[in-house]
Amino acid sequence: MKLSPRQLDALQELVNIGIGQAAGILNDMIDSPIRLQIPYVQILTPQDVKEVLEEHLNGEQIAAVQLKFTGSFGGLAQLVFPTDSAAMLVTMLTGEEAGTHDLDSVKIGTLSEVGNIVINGVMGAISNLLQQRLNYSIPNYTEGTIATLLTSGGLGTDTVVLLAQTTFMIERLQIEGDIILIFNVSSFDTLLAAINQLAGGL
Amino acid sequence: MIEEKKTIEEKFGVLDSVPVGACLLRDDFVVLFWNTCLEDWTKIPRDEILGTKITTYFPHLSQLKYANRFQQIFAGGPPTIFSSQIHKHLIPATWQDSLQRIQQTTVTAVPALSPGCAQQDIPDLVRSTLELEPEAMLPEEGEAVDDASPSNSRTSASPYGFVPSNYQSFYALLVIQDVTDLTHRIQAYRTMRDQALEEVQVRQRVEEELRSSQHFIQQIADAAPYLLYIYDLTEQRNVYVNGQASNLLGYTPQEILQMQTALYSSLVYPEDLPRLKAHQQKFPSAQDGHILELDYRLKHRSGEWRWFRGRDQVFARTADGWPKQIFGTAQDITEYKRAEEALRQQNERELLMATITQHIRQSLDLGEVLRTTVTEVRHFLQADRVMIVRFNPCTGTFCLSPATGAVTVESVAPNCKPMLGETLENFCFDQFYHEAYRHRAIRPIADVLTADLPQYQIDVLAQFAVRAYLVVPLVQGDELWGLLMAHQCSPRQWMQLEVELLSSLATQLAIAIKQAELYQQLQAANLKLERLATLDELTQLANRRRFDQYLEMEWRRQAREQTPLSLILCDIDSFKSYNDTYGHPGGDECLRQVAGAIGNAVNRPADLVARYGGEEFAVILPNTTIQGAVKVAEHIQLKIAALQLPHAGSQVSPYVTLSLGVASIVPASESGAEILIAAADQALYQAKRLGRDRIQLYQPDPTAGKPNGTAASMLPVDFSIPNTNLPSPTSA
Repeated sequence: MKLSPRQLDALQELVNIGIGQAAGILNDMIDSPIRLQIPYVQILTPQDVKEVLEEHLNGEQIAAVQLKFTGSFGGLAQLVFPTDSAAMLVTMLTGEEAGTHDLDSVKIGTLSEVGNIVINGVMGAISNLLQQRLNYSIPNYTEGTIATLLTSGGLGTDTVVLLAQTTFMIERLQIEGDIILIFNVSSFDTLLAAINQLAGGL
Repeated sequence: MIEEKKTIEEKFGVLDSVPVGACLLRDDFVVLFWNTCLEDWTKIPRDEILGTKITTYFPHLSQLKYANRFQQIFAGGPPTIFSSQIHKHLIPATWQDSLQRIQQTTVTAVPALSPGCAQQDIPDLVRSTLELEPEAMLPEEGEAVDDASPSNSRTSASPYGFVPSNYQSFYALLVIQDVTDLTHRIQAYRTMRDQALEEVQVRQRVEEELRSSQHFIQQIADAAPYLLYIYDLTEQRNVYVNGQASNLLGYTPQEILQMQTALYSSLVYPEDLPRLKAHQQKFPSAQDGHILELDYRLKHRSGEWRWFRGRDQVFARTADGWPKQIFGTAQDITEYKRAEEALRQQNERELLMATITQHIRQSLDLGEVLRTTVTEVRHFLQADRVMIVRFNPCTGTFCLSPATGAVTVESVAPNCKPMLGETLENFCFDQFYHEAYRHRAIRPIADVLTADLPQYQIDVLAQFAVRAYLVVPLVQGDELWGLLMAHQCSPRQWMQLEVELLSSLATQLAIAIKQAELYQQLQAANLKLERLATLDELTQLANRRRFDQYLEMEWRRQAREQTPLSLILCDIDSFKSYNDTYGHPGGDECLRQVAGAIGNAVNRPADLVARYGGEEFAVILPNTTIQGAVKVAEHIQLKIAALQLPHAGSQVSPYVTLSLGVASIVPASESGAEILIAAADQALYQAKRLGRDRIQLYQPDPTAGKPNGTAASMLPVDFSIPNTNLPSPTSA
């Protein structure tokens, strides 16, 4: 699926709005200023996203917070952290040294909330654009390789992936995170239509 | 409002029966529902809080970090999580011991109520929230949508522009899970894990310290200059030995331990094993800390036996107190033992030297000295044979060394063939050995078969089954006197001590030999001197001194035995004129001839012929009666006559004649021999007075005091030569 630069710019702006909101919330939550980099947005096929992410994450274990949304606009949003970044982020937020080797409850709890905030920001922005209310599941925390996460996320042939890569900057620490949005093709078309309308309106 | 409240109670009342906190907020933060669980936790009754803004009770919720997120919910955004890690106490509620409950809160957007909303949806929502089931779905949008929502009348204050397309209003349903117990468990687990980690680290550190301290002890143990070991009495093997084993025994500690129960049989000197076993028998009665000592020998890898002094004590005991392991040190005391042994041998040698020297001094008889020497030396050396070879004195002009030697003394074991009397030719007497011996070189031969010896020597030695020998030269001044030889019929490594002993003994022996030989010479000289002192030089008869001694001696003897003692005095007739006629040399010759004749006439060994004066001779005849003495006198007369020595100046005969006076007496102890001399002299005087060339007797009265007493006591008896009838002596 080929998007025009304008469409891409509009998408990027959309994601940026969501992330900005998330950053605001995170800033309120913790004492240290947190800054979210403007994400780099790509629209990819399921095959491409796997390659890109496997290359990026080097096949290592990752932590992910997933949020499913259903209805006329369906898909899966997830925030993916490399393990090191996840551990740093948890330490940053809780002051506790998180075990990197197990499903530590502190890590799960913390990452779930952070993921929840970021995804909510982005999904809020999208749902706002669509002037549509979405049905959400309860956020879910999971760990694994990118391949298993994508598979469990329902990455099928009839899907379009919006990949937004960003970096959290907390007290000079760089914590990487990828926001992956997987849409049904029909849902993506709906999104594109809304974007076009937005772009046209600009 | 009342209707709304009623509807909500109908719809959410079911949440009173779940064990989680549940509350419903309107978008103006007014509390619409407050379940019994929250009543219980917060002690705030439902009646009191319903219809009131929650921020009245919990002002912190008006903070942006909460308010903004709630606004998303009120706008129908995705569920929001307030995790127990970041928001422990969203709705503060005491638990126990003034601790606060730790809460995990999930906030879900619930469409503002319409009366048709299915009641059973709410429990499902709660359940799905609690179980965090991702597939659990909110109620279908269609069911939730209701344009009768009262929130429609309020303006939504969302700063982020969340404007639902149908301007639908949403409530926020807070489901608060109490995870205090879980968190505590997790914290306990983390604490436990941290403690375990720390314990592991401490343990690793302790182990490291232990290792380093073990290493330290190991180094000390290895640096100690003696064996350190732990011996297990029940397992009968060493369970520890220090690194000194390599130095002192030539085995690594591992090798020692690998010997297992064969340790003692491999290393301990067989003769010491019983003592070692007895030593170990003492441990059951030994107190802790009591040290038991034992000296024993261990075999070095090289085969050398080394002495060790073990100092052992009980190290570990069995449950019933029986000694199980002993800890000990073993010091190498080989040098000490050697010194001790050397001292002992030195003492023994000195004792032997003293004994032999004493024996040598006890006797000046060379034979005895040599016999003593070989006996003592053989005893000391425990040799099969010890002998002395005496070199035959050199006679030839070109004889640089003795050609032969003879075994003069020997001490030999009963099972060996004696060599006494053997003559040894060319046996180690050649020039080379001779020079060596002269310089007192000692030859120890451990085995004649491996020593580089000339064949003839080997042959000679083989005859007597000699396998090892030790030869020490006996040197007198510059002369090689002989050899002291020790033989062994089996190979024998002669010890330096034995060589040294024999060497010093040889010096002593040489002195003794010299002394004995000097003594022999002295005795010969003494005999000669004695002869010189008692002989008349001219006639080789006993002199007057000897005569007096002998007569005195015989007088006393005959007095004891009460047997007659006779004396003949003779005088050469007219010897003055003989001298005048034939000169003094002729006179001397005459005296020799007469002396010889008298000597020939007297046969018995006990008789003594002496030159009594110038031309006077005397014959002492012990145990002889007057008759016997007269016979001897007559015999003398015949012998003299037979000489037919011309005597021109004689008035009685053309030949030399004698006048003889014979006296006999049984001596009395109270009187002296003078009486007998006087009597014989008197008889001689009578013989001369009566015309010479005759025999006169005189028998003194043994009871008379003086020989020249009254005439009556002396009765001269005249025997004419032809008259052979012996007249009875006249008695007074």
